[in-house]
Amino acid sequence: MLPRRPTSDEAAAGNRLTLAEAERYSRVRVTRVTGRPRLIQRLAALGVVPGVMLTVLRPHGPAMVSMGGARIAIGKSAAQSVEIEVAE
Amino acid sequence: MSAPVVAVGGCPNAGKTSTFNQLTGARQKVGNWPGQTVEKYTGNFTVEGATFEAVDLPGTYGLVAISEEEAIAATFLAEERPDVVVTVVDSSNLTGSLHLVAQIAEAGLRQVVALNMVDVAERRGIEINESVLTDRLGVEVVRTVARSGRGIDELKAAVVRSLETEPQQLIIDYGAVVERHLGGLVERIIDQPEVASLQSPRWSALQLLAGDRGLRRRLDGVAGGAEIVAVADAFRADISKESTSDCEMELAEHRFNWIAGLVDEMTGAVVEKTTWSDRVDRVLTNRYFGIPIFMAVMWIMLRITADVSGPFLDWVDGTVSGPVARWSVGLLDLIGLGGGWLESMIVNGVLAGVGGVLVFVPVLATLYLCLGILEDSGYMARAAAVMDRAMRAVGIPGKAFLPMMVGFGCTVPAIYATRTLDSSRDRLLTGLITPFMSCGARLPVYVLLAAIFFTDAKGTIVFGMYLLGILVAVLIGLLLSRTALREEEPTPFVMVMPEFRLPNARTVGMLVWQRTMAFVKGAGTTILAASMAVWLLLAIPVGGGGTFTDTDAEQSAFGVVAKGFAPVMEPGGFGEWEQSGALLTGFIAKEVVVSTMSQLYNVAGEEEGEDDPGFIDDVRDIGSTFVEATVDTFKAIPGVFGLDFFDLEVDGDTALQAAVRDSFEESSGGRGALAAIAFMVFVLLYTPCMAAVGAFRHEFGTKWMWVSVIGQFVIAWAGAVIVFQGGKLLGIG
Repeated sequence: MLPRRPTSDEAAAGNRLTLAEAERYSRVRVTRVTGRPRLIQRLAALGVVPGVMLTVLRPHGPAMVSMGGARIAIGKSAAQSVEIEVAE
Repeated sequence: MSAPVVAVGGCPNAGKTSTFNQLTGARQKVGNWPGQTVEKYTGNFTVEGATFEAVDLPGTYGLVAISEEEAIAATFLAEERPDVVVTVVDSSNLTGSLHLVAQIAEAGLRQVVALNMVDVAERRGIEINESVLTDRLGVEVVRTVARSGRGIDELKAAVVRSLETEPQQLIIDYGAVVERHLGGLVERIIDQPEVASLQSPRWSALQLLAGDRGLRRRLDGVAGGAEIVAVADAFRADISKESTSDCEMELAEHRFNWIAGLVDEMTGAVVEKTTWSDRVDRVLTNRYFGIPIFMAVMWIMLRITADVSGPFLDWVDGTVSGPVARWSVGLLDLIGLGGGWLESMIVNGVLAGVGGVLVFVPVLATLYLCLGILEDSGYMARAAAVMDRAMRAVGIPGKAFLPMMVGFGCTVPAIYATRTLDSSRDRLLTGLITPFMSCGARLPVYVLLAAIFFTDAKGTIVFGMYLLGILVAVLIGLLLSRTALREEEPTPFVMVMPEFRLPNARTVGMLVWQRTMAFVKGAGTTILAASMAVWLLLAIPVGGGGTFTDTDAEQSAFGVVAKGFAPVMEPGGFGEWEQSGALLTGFIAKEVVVSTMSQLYNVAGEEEGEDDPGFIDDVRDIGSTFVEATVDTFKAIPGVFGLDFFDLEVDGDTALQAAVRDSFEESSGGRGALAAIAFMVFVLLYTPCMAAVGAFRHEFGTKWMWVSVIGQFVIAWAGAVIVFQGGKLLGIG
């Protein structure tokens, strides 16, 4: 079975937006989280996983998102490994 | 039959410790987790005549642990399998909190869920239908507000009832790919009876696929365990290949999907609103204001620590060395043992040591009070967020700022504060650089020398020492993170920001009490032992003159050691034996450097209390000086916010000043001021005190303790020599 990777269209379009590039106060959906094991584990434990909806309170310095009732601060390199799509 | 064990678990900031405190009351026992230095709090509570033993687990977001503290909770639950787990949930953040609840249910542990902080949820208009949780997980759910004690009795009753029930294991559907591998792994686990007997095979399989290190370690010692781990690793790789995400992410995605469905049923759609807490955040973590605000907060905290604790510190010191010493002597006289070596040992050894421990208490309690307020209000998490980027630039993790700041107060709690860091590498790095932050006990040395040699620029010199300490800490941090402590994967900064709230007096009070007592017990014995050792060295006559306990300092064993040590210090410009003697006692505690100087220069001066006040007078004095100390403290508070950086008051001990001046001029060949700076640099950079060494060994082991002690000595010596010799070359002084 072949690994499911992002389609070449997506990659070519270069539209893989990350949390670090999101707009302030936008509603986004997490599409993919990549990175080193420790980062993956940390984000997974807090629920920053594909499919989840976030409100971006601030995209950088560090990023601050609202998820459910929680506010989560995410450092720059970590925010760059959270891929998102803008919802609504 | 021993009492059933109730583990109290939950995410950080869910109110876990408040719940534990409410359950057990103030009678708690402190121990250490097996093989760990993290404190373990246990206590008992009784319901309807039955006694339960409660254990406070370190806060954790899930059972796959990342930080050391989280690993403790996971290991305890896996290996001790408590009779009931009370999982404390933040009702205003169900999604985040239910992850742990779900994992505990998947592990098949008996669980009672405390929906804590329901008041916050209610205020936000979140209506929670907890019966959904009961139906889906088969657990009792109790609404609580741990801070006020609401719902605690119901929680206790639920714990009792839960013991009658069989724990249910939660099964979450992880999707075709994962489930296929899970099923395969479970089959292999069942084939290995020893592995299968540990815990539910499905839960073992899930943990292994999630890459849990605790279970892997445990399987190393079990027949067939290595084989299972190998299969799990292969499956992990397969799942990562067959899915869009890494294996851990894939598991988390399905689990949170399930949780999202659950939360939806419990609360319906909740409209996310920005709160006043978010608005405060916009300012406190602002890109431009964040760091200045943090600096200001820290500065106020350190000033409060110094000014508020100062008068009490003097009071403790005066009481122990005054009335208490006199009473002890009187008591010894009474039973016919006065005047001899025993009296000398008790007054100069034991009481000096006890005093050395107790003088720390006001400082630590005040510092812990400030930190407790900052932590409980939610500010500390913001400070970490603000500082992370700046500190990361020099290879130090953002969370290290807390130990480093505490280090300005006292190195001992600073070393213990490294526990909040995620990895052992980060902890060690922070532990190694924290001692360079100039602690409060080093200040009197700077003040004395600056007052003698730099009358017009005292403040600048003292401030310069603090800056130099930071600079050395940063340089050493940079060096270590590029060499011995290079890291493969920098710890990512991902942190939940708790909502801002008014600090709770009870929570903060417990924190202050527990941390201060931990110091008294942990470091107290080291300080006492060191104090006794110095007394003994000073008591042994070597140079011929005098008898045991009645010998000149210069003729004592201590004097001989100091003289042997003196030539080492000569390149720094302070090679007199009195100077090295003072530095030697400085290994034990920096606060004795100045007092040793006056002892060795033999200017101890006017003996106090010659008129020997009576017992009643003494008691009255202790009371009235305590009142004075309290008044002084309140008088000092306005000054905290003032702009005088250090109100450098020097005791009018001119005899000592003159002796020190002569000695430094002598040892440096007429460059007293330069030698004084070199001396200050040495005091700044070498071993802070025995208690810090004890704490360091406690946390990082004997090997690293020696690395730290020797490293600091070499750096301090090199620093002092560079200052003195460099200054001489440049013709300064």
